[in-house]
Amino acid sequence: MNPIQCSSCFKQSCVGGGHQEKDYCSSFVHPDVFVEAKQIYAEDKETGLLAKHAAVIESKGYMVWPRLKDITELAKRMEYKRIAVLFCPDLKREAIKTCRILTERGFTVISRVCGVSKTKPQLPEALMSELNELKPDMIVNTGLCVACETEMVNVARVPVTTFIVRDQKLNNNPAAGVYASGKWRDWAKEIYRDKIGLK
Amino acid sequence: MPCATCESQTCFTNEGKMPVGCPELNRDQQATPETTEAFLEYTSTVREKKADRISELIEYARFKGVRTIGIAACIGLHDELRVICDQLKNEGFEINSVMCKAGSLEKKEVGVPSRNLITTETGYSIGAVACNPVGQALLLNKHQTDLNCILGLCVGHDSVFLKHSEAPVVTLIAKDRTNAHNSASVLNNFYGDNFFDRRPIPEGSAEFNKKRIKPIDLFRMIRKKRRGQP
Repeated sequence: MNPIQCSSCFKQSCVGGGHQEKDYCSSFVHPDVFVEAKQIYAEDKETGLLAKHAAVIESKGYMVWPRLKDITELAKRMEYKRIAVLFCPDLKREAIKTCRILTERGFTVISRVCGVSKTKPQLPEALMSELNELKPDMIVNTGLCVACETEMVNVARVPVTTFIVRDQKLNNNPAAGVYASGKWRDWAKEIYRDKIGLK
Repeated sequence: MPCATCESQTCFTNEGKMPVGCPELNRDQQATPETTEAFLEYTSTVREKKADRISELIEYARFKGVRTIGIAACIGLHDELRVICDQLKNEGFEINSVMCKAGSLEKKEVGVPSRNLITTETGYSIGAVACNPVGQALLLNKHQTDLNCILGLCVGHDSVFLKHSEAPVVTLIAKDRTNAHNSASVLNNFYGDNFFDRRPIPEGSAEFNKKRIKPIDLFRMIRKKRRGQP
């Protein structure tokens, strides 16, 4: 089985409802998977509602709303009331502010630090099961490192969204590393050559 | 359980007393010490290094013995995907990358109303094809990836992808269209505070703004003059 490589596709004909007849195009090679996906949208109520409201929110606040507004809007539409905020102790300042903003919008907030502590060390999976007992409707991830996030988030029973991605070197802004790289500059010259006026 | 308002972080600093009602007090000692020790050592070493997010991911993948990495990306971040894919390929991983429009699911089938279909309410053009996070997850499950990455999925689609993927999931970039994917900057900013009504209004500003003519009224006045009406 060939690996799927949407990264090497430049035509992007799936946006218009078509596909390319190539080995790497996923909608040409595996059409049966997407038929299965259609059934899941119809059968599973939660995923269908989440996908619908996410599409509506995208069109309502395109290029206007920040990500935190999107999260509060989704929680309102899905009628969630208890929201859990997961955070790392390094990002305490950000977590306090998000908790305040969420409480002002009318949600009851449960905040919880990352479980890998020094005094009574425990795996993050066990901590997530503790959080499941409190029965939150949604979990907002405001900054967990890679190792904790993979272990924690997969055990959660309720929908999880990320608000902040933790990055120690670049001040929680991982996209800045991409834009500062040398390859990006070379490609940006190719893309914007006509508009900037470079040769 | 307000961990955000806790002042003495004894669980991390090992100093002072734990507050009343702390969940650490009721917790038992670690259940399976053999598996935890390696993981805890790893996390402590990573925190001291202060690494980049992507290099942190590479390090974790080597710690877990991951071979194939799947990336579920937004179609707006295609250029960023190319850079990250090249970097991960150079490190020696096998990569499957899927865009969010794969399979071209129509928005009507999900149940989106017709006014939100082709143009947004803010005046930009987006197509009639919906994002398909379930299809992304099922495709990556079929190719048997060991670790999946999210690269800039929207808020709702994010959690749908998490629900249906079998492999563990990491987010690399959280998409934020207004702040150039730096979603935390809303909290540290004057304009972010203004957006969420965190700033008190300065004295007299409300009355001052009332006296001013709104741009719509100006437009109406000009239109009346052109028509010759008083």
